[in-house]
Amino acid sequence: MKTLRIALCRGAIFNETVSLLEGVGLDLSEVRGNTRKLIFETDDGTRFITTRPTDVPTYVEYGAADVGLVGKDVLLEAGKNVYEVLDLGIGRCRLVFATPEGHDRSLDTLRHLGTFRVATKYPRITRDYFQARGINPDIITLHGSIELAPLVGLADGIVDLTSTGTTMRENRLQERFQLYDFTTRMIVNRVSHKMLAPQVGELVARLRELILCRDADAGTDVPGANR
Amino acid sequence: MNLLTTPPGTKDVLPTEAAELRLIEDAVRTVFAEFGYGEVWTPTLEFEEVLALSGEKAFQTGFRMLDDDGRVLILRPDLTAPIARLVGSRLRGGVPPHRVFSISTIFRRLSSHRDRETEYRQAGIELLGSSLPHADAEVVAVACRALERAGLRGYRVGVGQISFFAGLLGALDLDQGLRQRLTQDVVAKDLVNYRLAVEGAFVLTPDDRRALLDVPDLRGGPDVLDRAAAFVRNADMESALEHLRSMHEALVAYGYEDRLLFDLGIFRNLEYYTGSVFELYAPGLGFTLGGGGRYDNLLARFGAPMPAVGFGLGLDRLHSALIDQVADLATGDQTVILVGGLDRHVAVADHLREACVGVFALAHDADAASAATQARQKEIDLIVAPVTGSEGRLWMVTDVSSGVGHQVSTEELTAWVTRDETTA
Repeated sequence: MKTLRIALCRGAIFNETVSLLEGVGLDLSEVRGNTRKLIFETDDGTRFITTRPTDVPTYVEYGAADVGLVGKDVLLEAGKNVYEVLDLGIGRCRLVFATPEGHDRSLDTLRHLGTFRVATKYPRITRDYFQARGINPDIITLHGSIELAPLVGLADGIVDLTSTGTTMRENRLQERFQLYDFTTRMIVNRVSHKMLAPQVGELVARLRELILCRDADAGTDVPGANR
Repeated sequence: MNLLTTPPGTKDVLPTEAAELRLIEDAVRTVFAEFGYGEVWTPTLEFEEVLALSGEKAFQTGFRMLDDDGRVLILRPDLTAPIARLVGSRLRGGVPPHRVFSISTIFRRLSSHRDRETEYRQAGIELLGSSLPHADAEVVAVACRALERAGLRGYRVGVGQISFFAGLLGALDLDQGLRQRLTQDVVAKDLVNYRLAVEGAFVLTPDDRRALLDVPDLRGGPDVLDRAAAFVRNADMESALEHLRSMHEALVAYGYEDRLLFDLGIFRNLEYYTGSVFELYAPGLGFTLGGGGRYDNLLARFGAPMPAVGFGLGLDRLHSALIDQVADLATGDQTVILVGGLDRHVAVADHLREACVGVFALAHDADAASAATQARQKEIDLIVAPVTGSEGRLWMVTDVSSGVGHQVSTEELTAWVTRDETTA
């Protein structure tokens, strides 16, 4: 039987996703140990591809990987035609709108402006979010240190991920509202979802079971755990 | 040199690829004709307001332009809408069923959701005027046979049934908002949000929620049809399932049962499709080769209400799937380079052409090196050159890949060249 090719993100959620896959009996010792290699093959033929998070949806859409584990932020920004089959419940982070401390630039006060400048790594999510609310912001796409933009007058505010809020506080930025709450998702190529249905189905079932057990242990209230 | 590029999403096709694509197209066309489908050609440009009647999503990404009277024209964005228009106009008086096919280039703009090709060739058939499940089965069988004739191995056909899921939503008496959300989620393939919506719908009984979660997840062999029976709640669902069963029986008769993956989680554009849907998969290809289904409401929009079923096949995708499986799609045509075929030995060249050998003629003074260069560039295997001093009575036939040459007389030449083809 054909085995799966799984794309993983080298990044913040790497260790968590690796642990999760180990939890369902996959052997990722080499993936964990070797940070330079890009492709790994286990004894049963399962192949792991490691790449940067933003590239994972592309690998999966083109069928270079059957399955990918990637953050919903990346997925929503990429807008690829893939199956999104499972919420892994890890890598939780929030996408928020923040402006410099003091000035209350809430959505209501910004609404009267024709436009305002928002710096972000997520131009598409940001545009869609504001446009759905009748606002057409001027999006400034940056690739790192988004917090800098409002401090030097490049933008009025930022849309960025935060987990603890420390970076924002240190840069005297204040969260005004939350756009989304993201977690890591399992995605599947449209053709693999059909041609490799048994393999994909089994991986989903095992992961779902593991997640239910984990959440039950942690006593957290998670959607899906109430059945 | 940037001035010489073509627009994003378009491509030039050179002789070797063109020959391969033509071979695929011919195979597909032959199969369509064997099933009694008649070829139709529709204009590349249509009136936007006419095609807009279809409501097809592909339409939104069409290229538009204005004519001199200010009417909006659109470059054909799909194959089905023009055919529905044609049936509503040219075939209106005819007695159905109609079987038509077309092989045409279609055009769609690139967008943030679509970043690949803007121009591509599709082959599609439409069987119009029959609501029998056997019509759906025939269309699937034609697709299978076309793929096989083109030489594809290991392909599969995913077969779904939209009206089974629609029947379930109907049976549950959901409010409009939830119904819309569930439909949106399955079409977007966002099964995480779908599950959230189902599990959050406390107006539903646990059994209802179970059914909503399990039905789109039903996939596999014909056993899916038996498992689906447990979820039937009304006549709509029963007849939807019965339709699939009859399709399955008919496809067994065609010998394609092993190709089928029944899958009640296939949701193509729901504005368009009304019943069975299918998708074509090739091993190693991350995209579907094509797909189709039943669209019983479309023809009414063009003034000719009748049931219809059809499919479209992406010829470039089929081509890349075939290339994955076979290194060289042999076109079967023998072409030689004939030194002197352009000026002194036109008769010899024509003699070879009559024997169905392609001749790339060079002037008599072309030297061996330039003949070899041409052979390499044009991917031609044989060079035929007159033996010096023989006055065109003796010929040296050189196999470019091996470098081996044979001397033959003019009388033997055709036989030698064509013989070489069969042993190669």
